Amino acid sequence: MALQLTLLLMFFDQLFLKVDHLSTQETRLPPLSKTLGRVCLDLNHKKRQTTVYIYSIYGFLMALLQLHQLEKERLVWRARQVTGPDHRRQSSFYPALDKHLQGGWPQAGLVELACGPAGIGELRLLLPLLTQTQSRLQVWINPPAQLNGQALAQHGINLSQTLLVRCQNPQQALWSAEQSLHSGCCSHLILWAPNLTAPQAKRLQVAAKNNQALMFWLHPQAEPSTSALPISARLSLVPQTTGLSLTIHKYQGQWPQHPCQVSMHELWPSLATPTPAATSTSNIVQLPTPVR
Amino acid sequence: MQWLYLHFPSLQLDSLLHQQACDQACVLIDKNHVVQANAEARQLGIKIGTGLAQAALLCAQLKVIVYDAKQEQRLLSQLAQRLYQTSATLYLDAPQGLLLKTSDMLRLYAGLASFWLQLQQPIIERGLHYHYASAHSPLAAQILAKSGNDRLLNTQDEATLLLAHLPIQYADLEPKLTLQLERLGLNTLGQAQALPRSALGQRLGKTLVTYLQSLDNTSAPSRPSYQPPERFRQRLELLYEIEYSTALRFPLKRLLDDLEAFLTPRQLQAAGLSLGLDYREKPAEKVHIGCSDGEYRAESWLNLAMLRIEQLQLQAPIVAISLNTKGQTPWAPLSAQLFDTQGGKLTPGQLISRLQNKLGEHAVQQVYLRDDHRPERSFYQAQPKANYQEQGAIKALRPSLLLTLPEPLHHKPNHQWCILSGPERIQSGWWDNVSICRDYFIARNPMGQVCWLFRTPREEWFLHGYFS
Repeated sequence: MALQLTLLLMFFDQLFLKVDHLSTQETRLPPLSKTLGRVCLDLNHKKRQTTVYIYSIYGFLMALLQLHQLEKERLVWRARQVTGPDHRRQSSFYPALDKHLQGGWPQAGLVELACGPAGIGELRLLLPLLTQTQSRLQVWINPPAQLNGQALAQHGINLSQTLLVRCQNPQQALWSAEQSLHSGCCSHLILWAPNLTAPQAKRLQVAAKNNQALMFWLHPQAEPSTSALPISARLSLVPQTTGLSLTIHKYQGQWPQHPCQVSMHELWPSLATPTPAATSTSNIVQLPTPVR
Repeated sequence: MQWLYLHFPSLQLDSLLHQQACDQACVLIDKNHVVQANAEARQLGIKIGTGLAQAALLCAQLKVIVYDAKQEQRLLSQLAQRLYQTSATLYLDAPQGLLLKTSDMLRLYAGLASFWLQLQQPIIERGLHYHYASAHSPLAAQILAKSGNDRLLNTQDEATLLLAHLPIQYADLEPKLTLQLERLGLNTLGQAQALPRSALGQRLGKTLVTYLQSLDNTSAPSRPSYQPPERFRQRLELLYEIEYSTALRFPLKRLLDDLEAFLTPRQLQAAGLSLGLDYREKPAEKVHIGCSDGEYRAESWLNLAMLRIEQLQLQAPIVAISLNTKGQTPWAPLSAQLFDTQGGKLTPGQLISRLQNKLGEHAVQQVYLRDDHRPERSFYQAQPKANYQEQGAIKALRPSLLLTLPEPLHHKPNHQWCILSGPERIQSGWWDNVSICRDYFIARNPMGQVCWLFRTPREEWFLHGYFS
């Protein structure tokens, strides 16, 4: 396609002045999808007027520029380039998960966690992250039972930065979540809600992104919502004796991968048995002579 | 000229009609006589003093409101409160007059004309009709203003000349005395002033003599001057009844603007407002609007108040609203980080106030720890406080989610459950009659949930929480 366009550009080189004229007139760049759409359309109908081609060439060049910009901001990525951890992520403090998610949780956005019944370790998954970043408020909306202050304090959560909101109905819970995110004084938000529609998810995602907040949406279904929600990540959790098994259904910036085993033995030795992998042969270096 | 008198002939009516669009003829009646009428009513021929029956004949769609002397007094002091920012010495002259001492303020405002410009502004903003006059003595200013002089006089001579030509009916004397003077052929005030005082006193009584003397008395009235109140307290009568809570926005905005004008020059902020709603036939209701950080701006208060008001169910149509402040504190600007790129739009306190006003005060909580080994009593959830007291946590492992009431397990944990640790005996509370004796276990159930179970001495099993 690019080659064809270059040829077209050479063919119409006497009209370059007109292109320049266009570019000075255009104060705002056309949206990426629109320009790309226009380029494809014009390629299909080659018998269109020359001016349309000029516009499409200009649009294509602009789109390339925009694409480059988006790529720099990691909003668009190339599949072959997904390598190495992204420094714009916050660590989950579980090395296995960090490796799997290429750096950890997103810096901002909405993450869906399908956890099934409460108590399988979904908060244990988040607690190390929550203890590390406490410069702003952490808001908990509608937890399924009382939040035990003793347990949170044990793990180093600063209770003075913890806000607990109990709402009568789901609408109020969503309102509270959006307000908390918009306030800019909330770094993490954990919402328990049965379901979100796509517009609701989008609003929360935008609010979280704009205010540098990370929101976790926990719901009791075992499988994540089927509809494609416009959010940063969708994961489902399955309890294991060693900790949790995470299936990543969607993660912005990378391919779906095979489930990830998160071992909680190190942080909660009495709640999780050690991973069999740790004792298996893969990690053990066989010494040539027995050491006593 | 030392004194300035402001006269508001239709104070209550003007305040009622201001900002409440009304193109109908409106009158205020007191004892079946019209006391105040708007321009539309006057056009139809309704005059002050017309009987109610005659007024109703002149206009079928006449809107009749009962005159309330107390309300007018309140309005006058509200106006005085506003004008106090311009003029230091004010005297209320109920029900419709304000007397201002100008001589103190002339140096600050460099002349009477610019001082008057400053004074006029709040009066015009409120849409009030007014008459004014300046004179050398309080009484002279009052009489000239009430007669509709509407001029700022520069010298005493001008004032005396005007007074001399003032018809005796405008002299604000008792009707009987006026009549007596007229019968004597004294038609202007000047004619009365020219006569010997002792002879006048003998014939017409002492009142007239004192009156004539005080016309030239330049000293201040003997009553105390106006002192602004310490706290904000204001009431707004509505021209139309309000039936939907969201329609309260506009009248409330007016009150909140006044609140801001009250708090700003005093460098104060309010921690809460009490909004009084007067219903037509039901007892009045008080609504509390809180803001834990304190706030003085009308716009922020309006946003908070609307969150609260949207939740309200009005019991009856509202006829008046009032606003009081709760807890006025000196204004302290919140410090923000200069280089904090994530600087929020709200402070945590403001967010909490916003959530509380929408969801109710008990919906927003913080978790506080308590020194107790009984799991239910080792922490509690309460409203956020300004200063959080840190307290050490228990060392033993505790579940992050605790059920409010332990759930009885119908079956004893069987082989499908995996006991991870336990028992941990908690026996405590013999001193306050809520003693417990429990053996706690941590167990994983077949669904993978890590549960906190306990066994009582009677071998009953309960689920108490989840290691979520």
